[in-house]
Amino acid sequence: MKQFVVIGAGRFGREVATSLSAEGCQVMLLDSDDTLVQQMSERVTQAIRVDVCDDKALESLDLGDMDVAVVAIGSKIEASILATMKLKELGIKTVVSKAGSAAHSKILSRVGADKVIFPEKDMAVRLARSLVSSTISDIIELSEDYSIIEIKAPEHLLGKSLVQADVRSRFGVDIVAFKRMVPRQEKDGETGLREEVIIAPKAAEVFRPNDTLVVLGHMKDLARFEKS
Amino acid sequence: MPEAREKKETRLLRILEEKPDEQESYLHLGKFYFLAGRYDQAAAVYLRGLERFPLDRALLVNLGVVREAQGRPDEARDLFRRILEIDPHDTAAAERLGRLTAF
Repeated sequence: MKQFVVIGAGRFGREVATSLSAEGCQVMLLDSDDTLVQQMSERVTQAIRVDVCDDKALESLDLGDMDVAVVAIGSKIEASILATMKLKELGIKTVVSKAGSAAHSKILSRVGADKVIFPEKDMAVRLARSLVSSTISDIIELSEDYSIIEIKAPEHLLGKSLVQADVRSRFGVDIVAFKRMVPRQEKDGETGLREEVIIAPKAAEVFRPNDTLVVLGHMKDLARFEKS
Repeated sequence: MPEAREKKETRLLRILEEKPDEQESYLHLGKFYFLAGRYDQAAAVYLRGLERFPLDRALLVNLGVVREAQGRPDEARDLFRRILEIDPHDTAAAERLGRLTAF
């Protein structure tokens, strides 16, 4: 089982720690605020009150065995930098640190963070892109030229199978998954919808109304597909 | 199995014909169509029910779910909001609305 340490029990840190726990991972959460630590103690494997700027306190926790550390301190730059440095010194293989600004991000990279995230900026970019397009609901950039987008199935494909639609030769893009809402009856007798994800769909899979497609391709081909 | 489904549909249609003043008649038939993926028919049944019972929570919720399945989220949101206007403490409707409005 993977072991994680999350430093900082602010909103972001709490969400990361709770999600990791829900995935069945071992999660240790560290923060200097006793109330937040208490609040989280039942949601994670261990929640400990500690001053993350205190080298000795961090050393005493045997963090070297952790697979990944997430430094979820965005606003206190000094604490975030010191914690990132210390976690690398302690031998944690992967340290992911949250930045609050571009300058903060640069410093974190320099002091050894393996990955720096900038959630507000990333979210803002994704939101802006989804607002510009009425059909694209999400976008993940793989490189400068290639992306994965989530897009509503274009009307001209509805009722056709993947092989009939032949999107690879027509548009140069690959459909890597279908996301489909399927009806179900809830435990309380009410009706509801469950999202079914069909990864690597077969050639015979048929496009249905309200399908969301996960599409991989070059940005210019994706744009052509979107406008089709 | 398709035969059993046909029989069930005929039975539910008959119940609706015989008991149009009972809200459950609309609910049962609507649910039957919804679970069979026949969304247009489900919506039509719920709308008929709402003509008679405009404030019925179950009919509003079920129609909202159908609208979501049909890819008409704006209409689904309006229906869940209408339920919350009737009962601001309806947590199930609030959750469904929250899921529909979340990015």
